[in-house]
This record gives sequence, C-alpha cells and structure tokens, in this order.
Amino acid sequence: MEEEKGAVAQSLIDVVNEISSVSEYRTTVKKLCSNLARRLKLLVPMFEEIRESNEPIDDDALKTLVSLRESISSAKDYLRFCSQGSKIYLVMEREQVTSKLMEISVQLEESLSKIPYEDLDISDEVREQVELVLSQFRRAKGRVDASDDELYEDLHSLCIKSGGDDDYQPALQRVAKKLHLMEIPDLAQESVALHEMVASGGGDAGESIEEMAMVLKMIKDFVQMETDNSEDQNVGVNSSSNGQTSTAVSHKIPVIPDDFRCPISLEMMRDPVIVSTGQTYERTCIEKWIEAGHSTCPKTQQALTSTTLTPNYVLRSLIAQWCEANDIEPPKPPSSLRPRKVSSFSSPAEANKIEDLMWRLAYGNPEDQRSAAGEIRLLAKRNADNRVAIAEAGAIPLLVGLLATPDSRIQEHSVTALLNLSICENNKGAIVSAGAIPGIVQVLKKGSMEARENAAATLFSLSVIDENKVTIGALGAIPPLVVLLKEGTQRGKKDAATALFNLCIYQGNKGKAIRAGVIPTLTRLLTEPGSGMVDEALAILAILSSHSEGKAIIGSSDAVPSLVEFIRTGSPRNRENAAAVLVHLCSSDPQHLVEAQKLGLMGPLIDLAGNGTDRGKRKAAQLLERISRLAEQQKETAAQTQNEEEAEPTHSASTTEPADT
Amino acid sequence: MAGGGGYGGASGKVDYVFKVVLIGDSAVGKSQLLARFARDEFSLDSKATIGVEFQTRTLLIEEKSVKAQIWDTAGQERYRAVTSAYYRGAVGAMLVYDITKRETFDHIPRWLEELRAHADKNIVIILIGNKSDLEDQRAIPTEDAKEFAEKEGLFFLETSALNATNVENSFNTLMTEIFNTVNKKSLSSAGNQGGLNNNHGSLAGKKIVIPGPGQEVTAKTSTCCSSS
Repeated sequence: MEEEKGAVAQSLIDVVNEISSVSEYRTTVKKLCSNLARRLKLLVPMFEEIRESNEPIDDDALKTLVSLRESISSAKDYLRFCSQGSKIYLVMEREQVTSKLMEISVQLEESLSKIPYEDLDISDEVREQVELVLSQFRRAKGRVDASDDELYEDLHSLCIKSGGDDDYQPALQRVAKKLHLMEIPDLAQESVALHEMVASGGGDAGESIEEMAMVLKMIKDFVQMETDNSEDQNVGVNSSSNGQTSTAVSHKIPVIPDDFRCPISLEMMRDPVIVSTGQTYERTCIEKWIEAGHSTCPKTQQALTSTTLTPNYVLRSLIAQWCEANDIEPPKPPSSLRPRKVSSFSSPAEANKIEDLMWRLAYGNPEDQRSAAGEIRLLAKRNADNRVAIAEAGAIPLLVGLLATPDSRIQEHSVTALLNLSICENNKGAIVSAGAIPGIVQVLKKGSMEARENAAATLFSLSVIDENKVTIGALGAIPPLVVLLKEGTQRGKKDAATALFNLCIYQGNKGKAIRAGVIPTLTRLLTEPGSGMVDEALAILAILSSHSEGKAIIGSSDAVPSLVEFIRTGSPRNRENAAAVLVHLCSSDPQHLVEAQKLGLMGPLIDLAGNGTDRGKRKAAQLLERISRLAEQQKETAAQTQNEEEAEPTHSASTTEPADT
Repeated sequence: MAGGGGYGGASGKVDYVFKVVLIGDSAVGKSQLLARFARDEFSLDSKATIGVEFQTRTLLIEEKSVKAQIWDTAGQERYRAVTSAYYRGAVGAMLVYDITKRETFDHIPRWLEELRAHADKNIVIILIGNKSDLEDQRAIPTEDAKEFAEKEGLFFLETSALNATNVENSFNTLMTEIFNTVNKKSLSSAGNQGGLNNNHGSLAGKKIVIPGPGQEVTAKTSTCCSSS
C-alpha cells in the first residue's frame, strides 16, 4: 500500500513535468493553455509531500489521486495537441477547441475537489497553494480568451474562395503572418500536423479537414510565390519540372532573358540605368524619352520624382557574364564615361574617381575589387556627402554582391562599407531592398571576427527602421547574433547586443531570440564580473520578459537574486530595467515575488518608487501593488478555507466544495 | 469496372475510404498526376510540394462509393517532412518516375525499399512512368520498366499528366485492385471489414492475396504481396 501511494504520487509528478515541458502553445490558445499548465505545476509540491510522507493513506483517498492522474493525463494529451497540432485547425475550430479546454478544466477541478486533504499528510502551506489552484480553476470557468476575429474570418473566407481572382492575397498574407507560416519548415510542419490528424483519425478526413488542407495549399503557393520572386533563379524547380523547355532551348540560340532587354527598345542593354521608380532602361532610350518632355516611367506609368539615371552595374555585369557563358559577343560598353548631368559629387574629378571605383567593383579581378571596396569603405566613413554620392553611383548592389565572395578581406571591406553607408538614413532602405540581409547574415556566421563585428553593427544600424526589424529577423539574423553575443570580442558583444535589442523591440523577433538561446547568455553577462555588458543585458532582458517563453526561461534561470541586487545598487537605468523584468516575471508566477521579498526587495523597491527615474517609479509601483495584491489574495484564500461563502470572489458557486470544514 | 464519380465534393454517403500515397523523386510529376486525377487540372508553373498534401475524389466501383484519399509528398529533400504517419493506413501506393530522366527510374528500388520498410506489407503498388508525352526525350524504354515491374510484382502504366493519358486509368486500376482485395477479404472472413464505417478502414494487419493482373495492366502476379 505504502509503495503504491509513492508510485502514484511520483507518476503524478511525472505527468505534470511532461506538461511543463510542452512549450510554445499556438498563439490562439496560448493563454488558456499556459494558465492550465501553470496551475497544474503548482500542484507538484503537494504530490512531493505525499510521496515523501510516511503516513499511509486509505484506499478511497488513493482512488481520488488515481482519478486526478487520469484527468491530468488527458489534459496533457490535449495540451500537447495545442502545442503541436495544426495551427489552422486550432483557429478554424476554435469553438470546439475552447470548449474542450473548458471541459478539461472542469474535470480537473472536480477531481481536485474530491481529494480528502485532511486525511493526507501535507503542510498547511501546500494546502493553501492547492486551495488557490482550485479557486483559480473555478474562476476560470466560462472565461474565454479574446480571440483574433480577423484571423478567424480570413481563414473562413479563404475556404470559400479557391482560385481565380487575386483579392484573397491580402487575407493570405495576414493569415500566413499571424500563424507564422512564412517559411518552408513551418509549412512542412503544419502539413504534417494536419496529416497526423487524418492519419490518427483512421478514416475519412471529413470535409472540414479537407478544407483546411486546401487553405494550407493556398498559403504554400502564396509563400512560394513570394520566395520565388526574391530568390529568382535559385530554385530551379520550375524549369526542371517542365523538361520540355530546358532541353529544347539548349539546341537553339539561347533566348535572351527578358530582364536583359530594355523595355523600350527590346534590345539587350549595353548601359542599363535605373530610374527613380526602380525600373531599368538602356541609357540612350530613356534619355531620349525624357528629353522628349516625358516625366513618367514608361513601363509603370508612375511619375518620375527625379531625372537622375543610376548605372545598374550589377545588371551590366550579369549581362556580360551571360554573354560569355553563351558564347555571344557582349554588347559594347558605352564609348566614354561621360560626367553625369545630375550628381552629388563636389567635383568632376571626384565623380570620375567613384565611377572608376564602381567599374573596379563590378568588373575587376579580386585584387581590384578588394582595393576598391576598401577605398569605398574609407570614403563612406569620411563624410555624409560621400555616403550620398557613393550610393547614387550604384555602389550598394555591387557591395551586396561582394558579400558572398570567398575572399575574407573583400567581405570585410564590403560589409563595413555598407555599415558606413547605412549611417545615411536614406541608404538604410536601399541596402535592405538590394537584398543585403542574407549576405550580411552569412558574413555574421562565417566571416573574420572583424567582419562579424561590423556585420552586427550594420544590422544594428539598419534595424533602426521598423520595417527592417521584421525583414532582418525573418532572414535568420538572430541566431548568429546570439552566437556573437556569446563568443565575440567585447566589441562584437556590444554590437550584437545593440542589434538584438533593436530587433527584439519587434514582438515577432522575441521568440526567435529566445529560441536561439539568448537568455542564458544574458543572465551570465549579468553576473559575470567585469563583463561590462550589464546595461545591455538588462535592457534586452527587460524587453524579452514580456514574452511568455522569455518569462518562463528567465524565471527558471534563478535570476531573481541578481535582479533584486540591481534594484538595490544598480545605476538608475539598470534599476528600472531590473524592476521591469521582475514585474513581468511576477505576473506569471507569484512565487518569484515571494522569493524576491525574502531577498529583501521591499526596502530598495520603496526607495525606487520614491527616487527612481519615471519609468523606475512606475515599475516599482506596479511591483508594490502586486505585492499587496498577493498578500490580499493569500488572506482571501486563508479566509476561504474557513468560510467559502465569503471567500468566493466570483459567482461560480460550485456544489463540489472542498471536503474540509 | 471502376467508373463514374465526378470531380468535386463528396456528396452522399461513402462506403469506403482508401488512402493512397504518391512517392518518387522530385519533379517527376506526382502533384500533377494528383491534380489531374482529383480536379482535372494541370499547371504549367507548378511549385515544389512542401511537406505533405492530400486530395480526395470519390469513385463508383461496383455500385459502391469509394473515396480515394490521395497523399502527396515533397520529392525534394529540403521540402520533405515525412513521418511514418505518411504511410500509416495506406492501402495503395503510386511509385512515380519520369520516363525522360534515367536517375528517377534508377531510384525506384530505393523508394520501394522505403515503402516496404514503412508501409503495410499488403499495400497495393503501381509503378508509373510519367511524362509519356515527351516521347522524343524518352530515356527509359517501356520494356525495361515493364520487366522491372513484373520482377517486383507491381502493376505498371505509363501516363501523361499533361495530356491526361492513362491518369484516370492508373488510379482506377489501383483503386479497383484495392477494392477487390478488401472485398475478397471481407467475404472470406464473413465480416464487413475494410471501409471506414467499420472503424479503422485500412488493411493493416490483414493478409491479402492479390489476384492476377487487371486487363490494362501488365504486372505479372502477386509476388510482392504474397511473399513474406
């Protein structure tokens, strides 16, 4: 008998631990699920006491524990589904999912309230905690998360449409974004999750799942179209699936790619230039057009905001390479390098110099490219005019192209030149839209230490713009930044930290940083003597702590003592950040508050509330409020155990009362 | 034998659901075969399949309504996410290669091995040489494939998803064969087994004897399924 009690208690602990290890509930059910999981976790101390206790328990009591275990393990199965199951299903069938979760809550509450606590050998403190959990379960009844109606509507509207017109594109975009179905692995995983539901159902999938499969297919097509556009020739799937064209072509004269032709003359371009709308034309053609008095872009009909013509060196180089590969005589480069009519260069001499650098970047041998990139790096560093002029001369796409060279010096010069150019506000957008991020990320991963540092600094500089935060995060910059933060030089660490800080201001990037393991590194930097990174680490932790996963990891990393210490003795900035982290931690787990109080939080907190910075004061006030609320709550729970009528704060009067009194 | 069953939604009751998987190298045309069969569509700029996808079409076989639930998976390694669940409950498989690409045929034994390792051993398999419209670029003589299929005990057909040649035929062959084996089994065991109405409508664990070849089908006998 005795042994069995221990075994049951142990298995209860095991199940709850399994639940705790389930991470990342799908956003749509996150709140319900994490609340459920958190409440169950609070039961562990009771199970531990039962396991350790020497008192025997009777059969009936044991039965109640066994039935609780059944409820918890069915909760586990469903929670796991809410973490790994199909995202599309969880949204589209939200009523069903919510009511299932409610049902689970009710069942848990019932099993919990049947346990004869007075017959069990458990401490008052643990008993109180269990009462708290029970009252939370009761209160949670009938409370439904605010849900994302737009997402729900979008998904249902997509089910009805299935082809033809383009007006469902915005809905697809929103759905893909909100469900985090933007990348191939996510899509593959979702398809497997849906498939699992059908396979384990063991028969007819039912129309609703077939609809979901159709919607997923639409999302996939949409995402692939987007990636194709950005990746262009890289994919190769299209051509190979269509065997006719590829083989047929190789026998005949190669077809000139459309992009190599001037939209006006339809001839292969000799001197391609970009106009302000981003379109490329043969210089002589577009000049004629403009000289004839037109002020629109002939291809797009948009107004030209300026008549500046920027040489498109990348395209010129691509055309030259293509001609060589196909044994075709390349179109002759323009006969002379005429000085540009409109230009930001102070002198024609300087203009020619930059022009020359561009040529070397585009056509030079590696030696030339290296020295040209190095010179541009220095010129761009010198002053703001140069940064404008160099960008105007078309350097950005060339430098971006060079990020992929195997030569580490060229790489370093290019990334640093981009860094210097990015100081100019207008260049930030141009650098990102030239497709620089994947190259920078590559340098960040594989470049020399100095190149990596400068790559991180470039990302920092680019991430000042909100749109770029999203792009940079989506293109995989975060994990290598976390690595640099961990193993870089002091300078590298600083650059990585500031970049991460900027990126994580965007909610969608927080999870990426957390999953890349940034938190352990940050908490180490907090406590490491002489790391010199405390300010940065605390600032990042403060923004990550608002993320539920971040909160959980910080909470379990034993950071509370050092946070309390920073509130006590830190700089004003650090005090407010440490308090901010603590506010978030305590919102999900009041235990941290208890721990912090034991560590002497009260004194410094009251001081902060009176003398801190504005934000510090605010955070301190929030914490103080929580502390008093917690105290009240404890009182309430205590009162409740004596007299439920008073203690029940909501109207969920239940018939199954705890069997004490 | 098999016939009818229009495209589009499942209407009315369904007597059987048969899960069929499509496998083979990337770009052999698995998804196009499925699109042709399920929706009578062919897309010139189709994308690589990501993960798994499925579509259904209901057929009428011997006055029974049979729903073909056809699973399609990525052939390309970087898009694959196949779990053992892909094969779970599958009663039929289409093993597809491209008649213009030698290596896609050379890989067939590997796919067969994977199928035999993960799927139910009684699964009905048909070998499909797709892109028969590209006769001038043919790399695999029909005879070679036929011989291979006979040796391995597979059904075999050449198809073109582009001009629809033999697509209908190949799925019908497969579905009819599955239908017959299930029916034969249910008669002999005097139970209405197989089919979704009887909980796990799969062949799993049931021994099935594959009868001789169908009319348009060139496979010899049932070596793959009766051995072991």
